[in-house]
Amino acid sequence: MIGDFVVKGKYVGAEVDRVDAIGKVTGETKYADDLRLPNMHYGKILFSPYPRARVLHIDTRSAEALHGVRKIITAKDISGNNLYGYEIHHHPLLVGEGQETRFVGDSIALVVAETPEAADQALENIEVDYEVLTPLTSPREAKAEGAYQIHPGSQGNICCRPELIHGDIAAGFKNSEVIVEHTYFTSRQEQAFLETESGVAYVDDSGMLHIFSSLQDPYDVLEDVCYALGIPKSRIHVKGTIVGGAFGGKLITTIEVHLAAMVYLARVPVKIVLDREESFIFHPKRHPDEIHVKVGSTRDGKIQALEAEVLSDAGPYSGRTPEVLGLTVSALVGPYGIPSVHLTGQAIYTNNLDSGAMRGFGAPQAAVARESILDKLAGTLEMDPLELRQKNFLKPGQETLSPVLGDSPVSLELLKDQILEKMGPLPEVSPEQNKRVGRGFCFDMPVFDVSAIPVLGKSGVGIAVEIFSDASACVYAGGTELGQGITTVLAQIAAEELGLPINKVFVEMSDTWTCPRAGRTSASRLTYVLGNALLLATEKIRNTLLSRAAKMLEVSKDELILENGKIKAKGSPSKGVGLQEVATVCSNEGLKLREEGWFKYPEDRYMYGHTFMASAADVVVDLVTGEIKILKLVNIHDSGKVINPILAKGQLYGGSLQALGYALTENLIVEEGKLITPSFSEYLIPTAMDIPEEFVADAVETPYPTGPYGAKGLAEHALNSTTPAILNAISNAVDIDLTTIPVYPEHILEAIRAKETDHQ
Amino acid sequence: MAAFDYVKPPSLESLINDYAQAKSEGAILAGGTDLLVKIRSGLVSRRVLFDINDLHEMKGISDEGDSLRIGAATRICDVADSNVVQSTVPFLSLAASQLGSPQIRNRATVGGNIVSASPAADTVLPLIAMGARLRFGSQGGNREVSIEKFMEGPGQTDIREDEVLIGVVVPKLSNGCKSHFIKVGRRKAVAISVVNIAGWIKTDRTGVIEDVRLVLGAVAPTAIRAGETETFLRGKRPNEVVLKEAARITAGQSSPISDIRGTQKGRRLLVEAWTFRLLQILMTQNEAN
Amino acid sequence: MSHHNIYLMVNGKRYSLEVESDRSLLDVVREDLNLTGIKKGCDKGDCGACTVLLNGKPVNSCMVLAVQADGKEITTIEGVARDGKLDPIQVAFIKHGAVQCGFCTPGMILTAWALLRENREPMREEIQKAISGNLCRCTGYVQIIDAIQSAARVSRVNNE
Repeated sequence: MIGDFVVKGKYVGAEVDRVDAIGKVTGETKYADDLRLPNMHYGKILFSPYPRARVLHIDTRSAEALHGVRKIITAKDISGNNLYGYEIHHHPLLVGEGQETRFVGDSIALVVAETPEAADQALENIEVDYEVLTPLTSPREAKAEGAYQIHPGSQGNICCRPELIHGDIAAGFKNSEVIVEHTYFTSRQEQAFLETESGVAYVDDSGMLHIFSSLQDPYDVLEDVCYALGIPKSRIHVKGTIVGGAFGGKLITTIEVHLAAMVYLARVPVKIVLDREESFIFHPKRHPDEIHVKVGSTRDGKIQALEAEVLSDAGPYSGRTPEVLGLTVSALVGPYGIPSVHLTGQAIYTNNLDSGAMRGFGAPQAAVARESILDKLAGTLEMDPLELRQKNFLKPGQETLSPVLGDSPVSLELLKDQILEKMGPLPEVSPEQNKRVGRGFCFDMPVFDVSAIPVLGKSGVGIAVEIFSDASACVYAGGTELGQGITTVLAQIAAEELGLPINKVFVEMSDTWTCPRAGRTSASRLTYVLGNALLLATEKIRNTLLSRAAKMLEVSKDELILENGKIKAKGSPSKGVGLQEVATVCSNEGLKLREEGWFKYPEDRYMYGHTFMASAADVVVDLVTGEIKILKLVNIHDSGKVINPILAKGQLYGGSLQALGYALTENLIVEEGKLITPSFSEYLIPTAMDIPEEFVADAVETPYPTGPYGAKGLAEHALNSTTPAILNAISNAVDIDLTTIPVYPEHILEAIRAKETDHQ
Repeated sequence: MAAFDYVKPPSLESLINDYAQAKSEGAILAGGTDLLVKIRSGLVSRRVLFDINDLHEMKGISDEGDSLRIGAATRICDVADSNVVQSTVPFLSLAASQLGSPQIRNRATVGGNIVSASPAADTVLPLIAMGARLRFGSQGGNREVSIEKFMEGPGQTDIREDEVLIGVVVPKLSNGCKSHFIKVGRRKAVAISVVNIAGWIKTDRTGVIEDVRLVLGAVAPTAIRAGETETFLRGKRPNEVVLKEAARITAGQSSPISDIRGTQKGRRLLVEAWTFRLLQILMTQNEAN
Repeated sequence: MSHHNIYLMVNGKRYSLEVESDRSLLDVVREDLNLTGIKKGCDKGDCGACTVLLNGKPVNSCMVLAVQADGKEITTIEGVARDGKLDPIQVAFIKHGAVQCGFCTPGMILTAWALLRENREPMREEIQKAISGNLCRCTGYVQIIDAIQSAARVSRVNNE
């Protein structure tokens, strides 16, 4: 299937070492908290202790009087809008007197002090009178008639209400011989990045504000700082530092607006580092959803109709909720061809923790409901769950229902064959052991953003490349290195295209001063959009170099190739010139050696590309204790050409284990609007002991015609597809319905007992 | 973190004197893995911490014939790795090896695990099952008390203001006894127990249970002996029906609460399930000694 | 709050310093010694990002008072590479893709380093248990375990 435009280059497709690895294994890499500035002060935020309360009075006098306290800031000190937020600017930087808090992550005051201890002391000394009000803590309650409006004018506290309709749903159910329906509940998932929100900032002599912080989108931070504080955009420089994990949790502005306000008003450099509890409270989580789904099929397993309603807890602010819920709704269809579909979602504002982006972006919730109901349907039809899926696979050429780019070759059959081969026979346990084995599958169609249009208007995605007279090159890319490896991927492509050894290629990222706008680092988009932009930029530089070399060598440009730091004539290898020599000549002659590439998808609408993904799990369940052991977990993706196989595997393993946590261990509990699991000893992400006994990651590489070297995006995939595979394997082993995650052993015991009681 | 002074007493005697003088404003600092977290989160506030880590009287494991003496400042990792513990009180070493993380085990101490009085503290269960006795020192002299009596509730013990836990005396398992410890956590490592169970059993030559101990953690205000189960099992010849009934009786003796780690109902189910499994393991285990 | 004059042997170098009683070893190493390779992930002993070796054993430096480390030997990630040469564990982490965001990496490498000193030929399960106190959210641990196993092989060959 490999097309001739896909190459196995020296670097592209090879297992190249991460270009940022040495600093990370030696401890030399500087994260935001490792930066120190002269006269640096420490910033702390006073958060609301109540999910909903009216701030009556704030007294900062005793805090201000403390030794070592530089400045206390409240809403009345802010001269800008004092608001920020993605798309809708309704997130207050500081809740002022007379205003209401909307959740426990709302900020009341800011402290700038000489030491962290002095800042802590000042926080304790700020006196705030609150009128405590009853919070809305469930979406049902919040959308009920008469509920108070968390945002004035938001009727029924509705944040958004996406709908996806296709075909005639009534006819679809009429044509169905079997109908099954069920409700699934998914939990609030915490990104649990290890590096908490952090940053440093200062204003330089010329009045330029510099922010260095752990973020996913420097451009969005710049917009927010400008809007909230009224600082001209031309006076703001945002640099994303190397990020210690984000997974969507740093996609909206975190502490940067707070930091900028502190620096501006206290007139000293400031560092903010949230502690773990603050971090857990502060950033938006994966939305907890209630998904009712109903599916109709013929007796031979051809699905005719799919209907679903999603009720999603938006938390207090809009943020990414409309996009996330939009994806949940469209992902309910998955990689299947279904003639009639009616899917609706409602995201409701509450006073709970905020909800927003987390790896998978709404698709994991959808996959839980979709793949669970498919197994239930298979059970009712007495059909093999894999056969049912296969019968309904999206067919090559068939149009997809979600707003995706319809030009991706469908490889579901191939994935199915591969995963069956990798899984091998179902392991056996002897019956006297009181254990049962089960196998579960999930197929998915993870999307990646090809356009980023909502973020960038119609400008597209930019990148810059410069080659220097010493034949070293630098790529300036506005994406952010979160750990996913984009720096390495871009270095590989640039080295390949410019014929340079990879150690002569440097990649500067996430800097609004030096990098053209590239939009957010999310939605598995950077390899595709930045890779394409990079090819456009390197092509221009190649042209310049080759044209100049053609003159030097007195041959036609078309006969020249660029490799290993040399420009050579194709037919006569002796005829060549060093790249350094050509670059020096170009530089001396003033030829342009810094070029920008702008990639823009032809269609001006929000759009995804799609990939394909299959996961399967074998589990053994102990009937006595309910204990679940994952014997084998296989993830296979088709994200087109894989630029770096080691990095790609890392994305699958990592995403898959986050999904295992989502299925079995992770439970962020919020009661009455307050977080009661604010630490890593209460919110349990998997340890090295929790991985499956056999853990496999692999790829099928169907080239994507518009991708760089045929590549698509890859990052979120295994998070979508692993949870349902595990849930279905457990269901399959012990023949029970699972409707709520996380699944604990006692839930299994309860279900087994309930079943036994039913049978008696 | 609330400010505190740090003192490292040169001897046990000076520790006892200084600690008595500090009254309720002093705290004993051993591994620090529990105390420092509590101080930092503001749950505990003390003016002065007394570091006992280098007091040799409070460290180490010594074999005293029928029993082991374990110093309060002995690290959990040393209990887990100790040959003499492994061979004479194997389930204590098993419990120690599952407490916290490797990093925690390298700092945390037996004394700390006891005096923090968490109902889920892993090492406390085998100590109760063995009828271990705690040795305290104070200006008024030494005192010994059984660990079972010492525990009064979550974070609540019978310790007196001026007393310092010096060590614990653990009777060895007698010949022919088999022991086991089970930890049920939400993940396979570094988890606070949702339920934990420790037990030992002694059967006669014909397979009849002569004596048995069963201790449950995290399902009552303190770790508790499942006395009814013990009585039920004594003199019985175990088979699946007997063990199932024993498990059922055990669940009835637990009085769990619902918290972030589990519900009351869920914990009862787990107690029953894992008691059955623990007894099964004890019955099929090769003799420990 | 009392002040204490202490000395620390960090990565073979002796440091004399005055510390306040309530400061953690983590903060003193990061702030006073400017060795920022160890990371603060939780400050509660839950994540292992701040792992250092204290007299050769991995501990969470957030849970050790600096004054308690007086006179002790401390190894931080900065002390793992010798004379500018990466340790086989560091090389293996790079080769096996065991690094993603890198925030857990210093602590993970130190834990692995301590393990391989005690156990030259660890089984996979032994590695898993040894690193169970070092949380990683990015990698799914597989490539980390692969790297440690591979480093153990390389070290055995080098020592033979």
